[in-house]
Amino acid sequence: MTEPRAVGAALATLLLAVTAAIAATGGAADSPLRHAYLLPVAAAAVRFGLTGGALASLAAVWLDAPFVLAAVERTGLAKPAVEGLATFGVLVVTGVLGGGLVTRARRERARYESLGAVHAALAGETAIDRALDRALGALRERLDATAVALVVREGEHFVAAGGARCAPGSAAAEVVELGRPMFLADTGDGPRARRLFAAPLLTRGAAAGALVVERAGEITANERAALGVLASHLALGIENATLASRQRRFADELALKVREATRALEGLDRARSMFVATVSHELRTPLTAIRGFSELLEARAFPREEIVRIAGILRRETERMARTVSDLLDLSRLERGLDIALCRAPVRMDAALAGLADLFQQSAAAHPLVLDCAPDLPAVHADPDALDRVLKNLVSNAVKYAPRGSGIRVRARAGSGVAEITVEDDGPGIPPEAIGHVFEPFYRAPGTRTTARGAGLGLAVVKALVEAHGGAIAIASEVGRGTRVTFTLPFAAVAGERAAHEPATATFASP
Amino acid sequence: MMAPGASPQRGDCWALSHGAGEARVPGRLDGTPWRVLSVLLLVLAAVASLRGRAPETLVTVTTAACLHGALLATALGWCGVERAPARQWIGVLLIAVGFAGAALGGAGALAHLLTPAWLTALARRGELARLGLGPRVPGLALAVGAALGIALAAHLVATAALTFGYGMRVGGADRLAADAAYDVAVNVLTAECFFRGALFDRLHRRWPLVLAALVTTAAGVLRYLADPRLSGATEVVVGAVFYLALLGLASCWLRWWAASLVPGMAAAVLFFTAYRLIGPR
Repeated sequence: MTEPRAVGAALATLLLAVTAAIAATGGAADSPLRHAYLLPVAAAAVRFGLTGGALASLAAVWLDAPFVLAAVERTGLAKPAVEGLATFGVLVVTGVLGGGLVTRARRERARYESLGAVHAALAGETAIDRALDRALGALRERLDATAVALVVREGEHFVAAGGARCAPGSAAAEVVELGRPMFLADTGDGPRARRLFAAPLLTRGAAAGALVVERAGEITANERAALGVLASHLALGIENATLASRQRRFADELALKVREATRALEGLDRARSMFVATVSHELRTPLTAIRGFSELLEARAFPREEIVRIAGILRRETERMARTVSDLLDLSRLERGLDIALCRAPVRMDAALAGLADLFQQSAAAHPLVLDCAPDLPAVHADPDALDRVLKNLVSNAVKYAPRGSGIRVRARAGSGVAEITVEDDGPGIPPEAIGHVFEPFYRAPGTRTTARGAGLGLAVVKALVEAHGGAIAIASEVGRGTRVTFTLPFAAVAGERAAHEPATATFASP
Repeated sequence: MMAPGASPQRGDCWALSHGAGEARVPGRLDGTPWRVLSVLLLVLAAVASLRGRAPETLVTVTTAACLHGALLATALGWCGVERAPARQWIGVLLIAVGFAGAALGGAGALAHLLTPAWLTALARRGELARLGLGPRVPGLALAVGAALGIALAAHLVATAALTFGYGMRVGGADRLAADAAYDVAVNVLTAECFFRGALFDRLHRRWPLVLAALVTTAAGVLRYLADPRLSGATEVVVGAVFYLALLGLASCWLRWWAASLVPGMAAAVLFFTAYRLIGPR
């Protein structure tokens, strides 16, 4: 037998025992033993609250009634009968009032416990939907209700915790829309009256949701007020959980951004290190040659032919250093957003290509240079020095990477308002994964560091100069078949005669 | 204590799927069978005018049939029974047939049982659910009702013995059967259907439980105080008020707790059985 039932049985036995004692001592309405009824009635009130106190007092009245009613019938409202009737009142007052006080105290405690349980359910939960489910579970345990629901607004929709669905236009949705509590004495649905009370969850003056309680029993005015307070705490808890969730999300996003920035900085640091190493290597190599041959000339006397040869080497190494420094200066200027000064004028492509032939005359034996300019090709609107630099860079790359004996073809054709110039070789080609990076500063395709010298600036400068002229550049390559670089320049007639100095800004592709 | 007819705690929430306007709470007098009551009133008036000239049995039978018929018809109307007007007339007719059969004497009183038989058929089809008469009877609630009825009956017998010196007085089988048929099929049936099934249900859907129970019980006590069968002696009236108030409150609680009329009917039948069996030694 459970403890409440054992106590109930004991109190019932006590009531019967008192009745038996009264009967055994003559059954007088004013028997002193009638006061003993107060013991089980008070005990029932303390243990079981209002219901127990009321039932116990009614049971005591019921058991004592035969003695009192008999006295009333015999003597009318004489003193013994009146004392017996007064005892009825005392028993009822003791049971009902005492039990009522106990019940009220328990309800207050239960309310505080409910608040604590709800706050505990909402605290420490990362996802707002899980927090709501836990809060709903806590409410269902503590509110003696037929049904409990927790509804929150998400934009234009209403979401009910615990997987339930909240229909638009429903009573719960109406409470959220209007921001006012709702009490229905009966939903009219069922063989027994079903009370409904819904309180809005108000945050910053607006309803973010609603707490709904339905019960087949009473929802007194006091309880409705208590539920309203519970709803405000729920609203606060939900808002805090939402803010905490948002903060955690922001923190995660921030951490991600910091990691990305750190990776980027590490990449930049690696690029800087690579730049320093590359530039150092590109400058040191010719310097070593210049120093070496200079010391040689100082130390020994050479025949004129040998001196001329050594001087040529010194000149070439010096020019290489000059090109490297020039490219670095251009790169630095462009990265700082400064302009490249272009003196654009009509330039005939046949003349530009002819200059190319003279320049690469010495390497023609190893790499035959084929120049093909379309007849009557209109002049292009370009800076002659810049155009020369572009052609020289592209042909130099072809000479650098193409195998000995393979040819290099330079063609100039007319396009739609532009001249299309192509430099094509039969070299090893560029791997597909490197094609997208060849115009990045300092980029060297895999495997080229050991096969050819260079800082990786040539194509980046070429692209910047071509785009500064209003043209475009593209590269196509196939491993083992060769590479073709095509760039366009506007015709002078299309671009129009312009001022001698035409500022232009070029940007390098980002590494 | 979890009520036998209550929904589990995790039941569907009405407010999530219904609008507030769908709460169909009937008006205070919605469903009142005005036409039936008017006819019965006219019949009563006619019978009253014939008092002294018509046979007393006819007057008694007609009056009782009209009063009990009015209670049953109103109960059926307030609880939204389908095809209510026809059913109301049938109920009144069956009650009249019962009284007529009882007036013939002997086994004629068994004609009273036509009414509960007809209501049982309707209940099995689920047409009287709102009245508290469903196809299934909650066993636990029925046991509790029977226990309450036995307790009140025992208390009545004990008090009557102590107060008036009354004892148990079992009469003839015919008399016993007639009283039982009347209590089961008319007295308790119509009173419970109207007071607990209709009036308490309608009041409880608006007012707190305690208030609804007190008003319903007061109305029920007045019904019996107005019954000409009740002795006018002061101690009898006081006792009647005492026991009928306890019985009424207990039946209201059983109706609310079990969502069924049957437990309260069981308590009332047991109590009235004891009432019929006590008398001067």
